Amino acid sequence: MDIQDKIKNWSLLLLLIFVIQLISCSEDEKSLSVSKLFTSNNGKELVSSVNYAEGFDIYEMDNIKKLVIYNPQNKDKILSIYYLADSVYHQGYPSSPEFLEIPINNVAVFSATQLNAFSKLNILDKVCAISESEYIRNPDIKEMYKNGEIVELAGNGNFYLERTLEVNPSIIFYSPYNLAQKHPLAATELTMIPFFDFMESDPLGRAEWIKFTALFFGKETEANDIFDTIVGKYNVYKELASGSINKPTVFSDKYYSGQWFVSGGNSYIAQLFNDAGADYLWKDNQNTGSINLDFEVVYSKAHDADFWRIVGTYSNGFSYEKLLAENELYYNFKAFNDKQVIFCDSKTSTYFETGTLEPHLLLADFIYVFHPELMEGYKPKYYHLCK
Amino acid sequence: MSKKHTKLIFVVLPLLIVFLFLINLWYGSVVISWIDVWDALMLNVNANQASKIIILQYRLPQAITAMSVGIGLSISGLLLQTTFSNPLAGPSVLGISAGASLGVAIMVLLGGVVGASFSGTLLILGDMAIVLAAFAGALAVLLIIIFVSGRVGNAVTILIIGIMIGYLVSAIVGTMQFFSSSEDLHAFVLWGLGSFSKTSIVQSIWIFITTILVLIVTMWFVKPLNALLLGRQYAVSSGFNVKFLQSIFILISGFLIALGTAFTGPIAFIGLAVPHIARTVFRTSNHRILLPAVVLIGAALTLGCNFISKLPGYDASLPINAVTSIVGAPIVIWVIIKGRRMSNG
Repeated sequence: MDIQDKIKNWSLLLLLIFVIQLISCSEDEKSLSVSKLFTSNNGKELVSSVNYAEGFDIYEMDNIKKLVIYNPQNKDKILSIYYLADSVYHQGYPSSPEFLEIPINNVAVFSATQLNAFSKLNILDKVCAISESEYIRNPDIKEMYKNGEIVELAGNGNFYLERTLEVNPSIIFYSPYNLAQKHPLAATELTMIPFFDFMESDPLGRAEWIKFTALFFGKETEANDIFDTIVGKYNVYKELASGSINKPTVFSDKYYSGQWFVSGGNSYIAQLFNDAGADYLWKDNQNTGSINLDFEVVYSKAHDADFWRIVGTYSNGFSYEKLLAENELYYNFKAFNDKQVIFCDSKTSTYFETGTLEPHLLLADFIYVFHPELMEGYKPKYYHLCK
Repeated sequence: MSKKHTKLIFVVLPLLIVFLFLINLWYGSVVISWIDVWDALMLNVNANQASKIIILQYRLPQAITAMSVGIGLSISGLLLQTTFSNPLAGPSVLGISAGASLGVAIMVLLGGVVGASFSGTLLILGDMAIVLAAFAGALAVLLIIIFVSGRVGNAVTILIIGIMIGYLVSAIVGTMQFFSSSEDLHAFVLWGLGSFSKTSIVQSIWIFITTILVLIVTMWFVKPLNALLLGRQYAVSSGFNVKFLQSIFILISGFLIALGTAFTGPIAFIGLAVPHIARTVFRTSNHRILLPAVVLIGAALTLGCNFISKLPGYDASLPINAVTSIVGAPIVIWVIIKGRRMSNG
């Protein structure tokens, strides 16, 4: 091989590399175009249509919606971004995993708490799969499951990978409890949308996730109407309780094997207590989740409290005897002796399923207990003062 | 070790226990002055009501339970090590605690499988029922180990088999958990975490008295224990019925493990570590000294571990098994290394 041939070969190779580079560059630019649409934003100020929830934001531009989901452990960090558009607008851009065509027609919903929004938005027929069927209370879903219209993709904490691939839902709504770990179904490479409603500490913020659900099915108007009604009702009750002068003291949860998991001062339940005109004993705590405390810490602070709130379940219902049987130290609490336990049965009530979208009723239930004079004739739905 | 030294340690240890016991009552997440502690203990009517309840109904039963379980597990560890002539025998290592767990699991979880729900009813079921279930489970594992050790003499082999039994039992429990309802599961998981704070004052005193009664029974067997130490042949030639003795020791240790496990959940490493600490401190293998020694050291060690787990000054407490493992695991490593060195040279 002479020197000329060598040069020829090398230049061919260089040309090839150049062409490959060129192609991949233009590919990159094309796929970025949806996101570029929002970064360039033509001088317009983008305003999120989400007002209370901290876990997500929705922006809209040229009929394309941008959904930003934040890392609930670090609200400044974005966990994932999705772009959504209906088929007409979707076609104008190259397809990519984060660019979804809406409305979605088959979704797997992995938390019973999310199903209520589907029910309210009248899109239960879009649900093709669920998980943990035995915990689901929604009668329509139960019926659909019985008839075989929807299938179960997880039970007892185990995910059925092969069945999931067979069902092949367009998207999966799931509640990630451990972000550090890959979801067992991540291997399916299906679009898995994290649903962090349970991390919201504002009762209205948690309810606002109905907008999140609605976005995937083109039901924003309905969701906005439902949410505005909830906000209106919630604020009416809040206003009602804000006038009360005496604020009864309240504490929460139970002692389990060496730990008392108490709701933090900025938690969902703490805000409900505050809005219901009660004095939550851990209101000064900064935590939005729960804090684990030693028994004696809780006892020394709460033994004189007026009320004690518990969510749980007992076979054949709550009784003070059953509560005492769990730990006889409960006998030393004033709220126990005065029979001032506010109990919500998580099994017989639909607290976890419908409570999220009825924060006004949770609030009203509490006001009815703390300030009965304000709520004459009211029938509580979730929380009952146990006698 | 000279007699004088031994005597001195036997004076110091009880004082240490009294000190650790008081410090367990005095320190906790809530700051209570020692005057209030004293008033509460003296049942002074003018004492601060909240402090009184924290001390008499929370810290006192916890301290008594910790001490009693420490004593019980240490005695069972010593008996097992002598009976199997195996320095690595112990309640958690040989899978006996796991067996006790299985007994409780069958009771709590299988209830859910066959239709009845036992959730939240651990105490309603009756303490005795749980103790008996744990006892049956512990004995079942012990019987397997006796059967195996009759055929395999090697201490490490028996240890490995014990660990395998532990895995097997965990797998059975895991499978049962898979099929049981979440509330039963919850009840069992909580039980399995291990904690000294689950007992009432009446229960703790009951555990203490039972443990002391078993200790008195065990003291009758000091002579045959020493004979066994010198080998089966020696014990037989000394006129002891070795088979009968082994059964007695296994029953006693099984019962003590079950008693502790039933009320506090499995507590790691205490039963294994304490006999080794006793042998090191007293430089003897004579059970006349070792038996009281493990009782005192066991009580002191668990009280010490319980005190550490309370993290004085913090609002929360550590799981007790984290503390006992940190103390116990290095001792096991040390025993294995020391054993290796001895066999090598």
